[in-house]
Amino acid sequence: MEIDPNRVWPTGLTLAESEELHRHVIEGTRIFGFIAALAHLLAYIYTPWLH
Amino acid sequence: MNQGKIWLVVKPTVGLPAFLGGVAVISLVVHAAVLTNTAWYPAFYSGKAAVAAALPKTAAATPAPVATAAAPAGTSTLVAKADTAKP
Repeated sequence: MEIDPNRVWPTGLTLAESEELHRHVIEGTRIFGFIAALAHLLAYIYTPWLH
Repeated sequence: MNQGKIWLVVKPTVGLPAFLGGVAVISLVVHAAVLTNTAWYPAFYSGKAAVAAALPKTAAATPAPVATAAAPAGTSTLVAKADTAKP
């Protein structure tokens, strides 16, 4: 189904704006996940966690 | 980007706080569970004093250096000879 790129949806966003916002959400999730993974690695190394 | 059309039907003012709040709540719940079900995690927050009580084997294997480094040569440390027996 083709979406009209100029249509303003009920949320007030167009398709391009929605895609742009979602790119930031994904980028933030990646950065958060990377820092969280690093923190858990350090916790695993330096604490008795999961040993 | 995949699923990028979600913000056409979910208002960002609702969806973003819900998403971030959900992540925060899950994280706090999991960490609280670890905090209340382990001995070493509360001991970590309590500092060095609680580590010995929480991990007696480790503490026994590596006794803390009590007043030996600063003591002058030829003197004994009072702590080592103190009577620790409870009345």
